[in-house]
Amino acid sequence: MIGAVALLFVLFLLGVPIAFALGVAPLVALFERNIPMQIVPQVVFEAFDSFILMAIPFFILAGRLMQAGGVAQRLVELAIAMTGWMRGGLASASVVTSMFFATMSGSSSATAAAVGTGLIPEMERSKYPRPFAAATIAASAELGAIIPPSVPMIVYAVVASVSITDLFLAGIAPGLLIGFSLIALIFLTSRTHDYGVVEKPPLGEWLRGVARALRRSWLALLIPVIVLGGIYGGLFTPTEAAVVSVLYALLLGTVVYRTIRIADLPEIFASSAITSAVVLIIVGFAAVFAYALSIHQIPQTLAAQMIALTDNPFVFLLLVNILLLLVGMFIETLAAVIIVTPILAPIAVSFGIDPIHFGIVVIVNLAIGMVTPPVGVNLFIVSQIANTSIESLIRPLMTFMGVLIIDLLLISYLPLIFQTLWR
Amino acid sequence: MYFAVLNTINQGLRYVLGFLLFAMCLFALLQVTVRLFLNEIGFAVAVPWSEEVGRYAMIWMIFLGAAYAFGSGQMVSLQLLIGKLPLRWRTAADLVSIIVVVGFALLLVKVGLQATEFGWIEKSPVLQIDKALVYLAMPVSAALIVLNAGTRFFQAFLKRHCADPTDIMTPNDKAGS
Repeated sequence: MIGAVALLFVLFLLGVPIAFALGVAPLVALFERNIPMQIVPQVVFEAFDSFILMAIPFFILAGRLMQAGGVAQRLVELAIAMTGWMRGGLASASVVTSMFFATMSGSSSATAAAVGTGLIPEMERSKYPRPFAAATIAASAELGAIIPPSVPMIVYAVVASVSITDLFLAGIAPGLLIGFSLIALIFLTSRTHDYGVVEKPPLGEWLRGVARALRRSWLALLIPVIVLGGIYGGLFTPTEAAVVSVLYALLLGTVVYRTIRIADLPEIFASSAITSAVVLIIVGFAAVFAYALSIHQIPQTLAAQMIALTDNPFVFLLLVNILLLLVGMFIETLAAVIIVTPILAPIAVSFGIDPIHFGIVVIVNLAIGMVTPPVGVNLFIVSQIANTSIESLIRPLMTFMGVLIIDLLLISYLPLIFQTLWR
Repeated sequence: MYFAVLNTINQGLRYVLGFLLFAMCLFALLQVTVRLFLNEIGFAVAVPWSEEVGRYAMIWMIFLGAAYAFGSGQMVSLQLLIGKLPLRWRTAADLVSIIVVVGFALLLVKVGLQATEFGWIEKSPVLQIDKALVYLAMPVSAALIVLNAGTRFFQAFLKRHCADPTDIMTPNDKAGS
């Protein structure tokens, strides 16, 4: 099995697509145990034969429809109308917009692209330095993976076999904490560095502006009510909610806003299908890797060693957090969720950590990885939109990272502290 | 000739993929509609087959989509080390990577066909579809990957002559994460 893990890393470094690397490496471990290769299709098809997984392509499609349909643009207009006049208002409005868009789309890169395209140029116009504007979007877009719905959470839930609805529910409070702490940081930074033009309009004009933006965006604001309300009200399963939001976004884009032409649809469906396949094929072959891990009893062995090292869940979570931050810097988030979950989730349970809480820690931690160089999807996207180098983003990102890591520690430990106090 | 045919196949795949996703949406919507509305107004109908067909459409979408994505270089991979290497070494790494993928794909063709063969005697629980029609997705996809690998192989050599090495380092389409 050690050979398989070593092979996995060699294949990763050679640039072999992660999905195939995850399929090839465990073959060595299967061979060691004389397990016939026919197990591969069996494991892969068992992983794919799941109604829950269908939520992933639906949320990806819905996100793309909302982007093409101008939903994100209308949310941005609303945010500008409401807060454009405050010092630091526009930058904090971008956090709020990201939070809203996160309740509609399941992914952080979609959030970065949708929100950043409108808001980065707008922030520059209001005299925010471009790197600061781009860093703001990159940091707040990670909420796309934390505030439900969330594609990484669906993957975690499938791999760790926990309830998606519970995981979604548990993501709301951490998402709000991260959102508000980012807003607080932005207000402080804008005040000290004098970012953002302050130009107070008369109250009447401001009210008219907000009302106009609300009229243009209220139908879009209903999406989270339908999706999240539907799931928590017990009306829909997550998969059904996802497909309903596809239908809603489709009607909004084609009939109400009329920004999507019917002729655009085949392309939108095709590109969403391809993005989904790229994600899901990793899930399938990761199942082979997880299978090899389990027949070699790797999680059990590691858990025993971990417990011999420390029996303190606080120390364990600290080690996990450090490990995941390192992993998140180099490996793409979904792939990381798929690789670490089958190993770490059983160990966490043996430390008495609630698997839902542990899932949130994993997701929040790996979401930070989307904002850290050298491999951070959000950084790639915002640097493309803002037309700056990733290097120039690093300085303004440092303070954001500091806040995100404090949030991560709070999210990791507060539930544990409460748990201990109540006992 | 080889590339022209392959190009046509890949273009056709895009339409098939879009259609499969569209079909998945229809089946899932049908299920929601029936459960929420028809049952509400007294029609006690259930459509368990819509979920089953939806899942099978997804399986085909995943496998065909992966084959397409491999051909167009959209698969998620780690470019960290490769991107830093001199061009000559990068070509070498690309070639090794393609050979690994082809070997794996050939194995998938073999075991996938075996699974398909057993699938002719296995029926799906609701619709009694031959499971072979589902399992076939794996060998078909793997065969397409082998074909696409030919193009990638050719491109890897071309890259040695291209002027701007950054055009092959563009971040993959990772909109899912």
